[in-house]
Amino acid sequence: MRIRPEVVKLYKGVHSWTGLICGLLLFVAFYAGALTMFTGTLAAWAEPPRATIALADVPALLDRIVAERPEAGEEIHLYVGDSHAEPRFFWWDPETNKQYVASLGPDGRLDIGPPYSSRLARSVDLIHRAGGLPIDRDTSLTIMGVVALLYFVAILSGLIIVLKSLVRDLFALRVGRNLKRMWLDAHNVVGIVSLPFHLFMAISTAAFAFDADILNLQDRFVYAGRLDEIVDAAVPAPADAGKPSDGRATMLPPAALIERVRAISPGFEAETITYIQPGRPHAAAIVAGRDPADLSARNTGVTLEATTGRVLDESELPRRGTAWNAMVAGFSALHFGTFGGTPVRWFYFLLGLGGAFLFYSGNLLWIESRRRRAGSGRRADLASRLMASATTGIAFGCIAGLSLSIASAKWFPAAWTGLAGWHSGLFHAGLAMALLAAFAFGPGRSVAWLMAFAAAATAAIPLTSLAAVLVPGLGLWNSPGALGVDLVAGAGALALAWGARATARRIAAAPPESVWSRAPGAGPPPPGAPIVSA
Amino acid sequence: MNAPDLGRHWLAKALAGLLPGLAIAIGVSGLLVWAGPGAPEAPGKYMVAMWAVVLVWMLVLTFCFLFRSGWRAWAWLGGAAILVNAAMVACRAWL
Repeated sequence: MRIRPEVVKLYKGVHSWTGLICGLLLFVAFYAGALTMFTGTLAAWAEPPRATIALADVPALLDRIVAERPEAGEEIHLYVGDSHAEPRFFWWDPETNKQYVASLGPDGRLDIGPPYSSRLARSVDLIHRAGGLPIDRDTSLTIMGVVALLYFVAILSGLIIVLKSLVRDLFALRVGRNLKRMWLDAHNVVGIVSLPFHLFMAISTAAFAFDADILNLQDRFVYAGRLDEIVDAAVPAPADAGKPSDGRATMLPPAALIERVRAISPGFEAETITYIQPGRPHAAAIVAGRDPADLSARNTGVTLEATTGRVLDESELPRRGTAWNAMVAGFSALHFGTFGGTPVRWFYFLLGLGGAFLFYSGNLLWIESRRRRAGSGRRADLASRLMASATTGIAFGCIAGLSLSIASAKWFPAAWTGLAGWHSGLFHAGLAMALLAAFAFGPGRSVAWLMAFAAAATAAIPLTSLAAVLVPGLGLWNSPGALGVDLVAGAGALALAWGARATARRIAAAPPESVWSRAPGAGPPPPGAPIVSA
Repeated sequence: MNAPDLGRHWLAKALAGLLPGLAIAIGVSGLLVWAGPGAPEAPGKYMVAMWAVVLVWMLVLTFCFLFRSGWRAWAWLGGAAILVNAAMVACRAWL
């Protein structure tokens, strides 16, 4: 395909600048986002073992919870799927918006308190959404929306640059002496292979960030102020179910509700059940999960009468809503990877890590092209050195910070309520330490150490589980159901350690004018570096 | 003819992509709402129209740099915004 050379030159500039501006935040968003593919497993890894609640006991326990905690009378949620270790109740206090959970103590007593599960998973998700920025959620979401706009432009301009040589060079990964060529080939092949994923992530992130603003503008200019009417017309008139009512009634147990759903959707796999107005005559229950007949395997829900099991709303099931509804549900399934089950989660995990690699390699390539433009033998300029420090500091600080945050989950006392703040605090502390070191010592002297730091922090995850098995007196626990977390973290730590060694060798051989040179001045020798005498 | 330097006026072009670009995107989403398939009240259609704004806006923002100057970018994109929105208002009135 022929594109005029001045257009290619234009989009090389556009690609560089949009990529540089948003690449660092996107690294954190993609790395943390890859981890959110396995929030259930992460929560299971982080959580101490608890007594199991039998699903048949649920109706009686619902009555006990409502009697003890009237604020739970609006809505109680219950995990029934296998992504969590056991069935468990949770609800929000509508007054304070605080979450509570109930589980059975060893003596059969009801144990009610703030949530001890999924705080880790939630803080990883918040780091993902904010791109690691330590600011409030609304501001960081707006910033990530702007980043998503630039990111879309960066993706398409990158595509325009490589279109001409696309077929010739796509799968040519020229490994060899020309390192710049190899990094560029790797950047291009990862970018092209994951192009649809990245385009969709850019569009959906901007949509999530700006949806309220866009709907406001559309209400004004498209619907002439009639948007509320149009939305209301779409929602079917609610039945009595779920409305407050007096008196008591017995709720159907989860198994009976799931059976009713399976009658209209054979093989339905339930994840959660939400009881609305539990224990009341007009109580409703929403059974949410996946319909195996739906190829996209996205999350859907069916609403039933909780006392009789009569189906009230099945429009979310596949082929029962409108095509528009199916499109909207498909958009969010594509962002969250909630279709296709475990294989797609692994695929999204790898695509997320690949995205993080794109932003890292893109920044390094920009530094390299500046060096070439300046001419050989010229010392790397300030902008190159600052960008090298920022890129390595954020990349390895993000990896180290998230690993520290995960590994810490088993070391904190299980009943401690300040945990949520500590998870994000540890992440930001790891990130800040790495950034500080990267700028204080310069890229050449810090990068191999930063990779070693990330490797050590990541190794702490499987080592924590190992310590739980070997030294029972520590009060740690092992989570056999979440062995995958230990295995993946172990493999990641090995890869980072290998990277640290290879980088140290490369830096020892870097010419003095390179941004990666350890000169001037003496710093700590990089780990594993061959000792070179002057 | 010499190849023009497309990198000049980048700020004016980017602003043209952002502002008239957003107006074009809103207009296109309005055409989908009023003239596209299905009734405007069809469940879920308003959310698809919201997503359409994002997609069109991003495409204009990507290709706004191809104009020969910032003035041309503003003239073409501004003109397109007026046309699309006029068509949308006409569809809303008569369809």
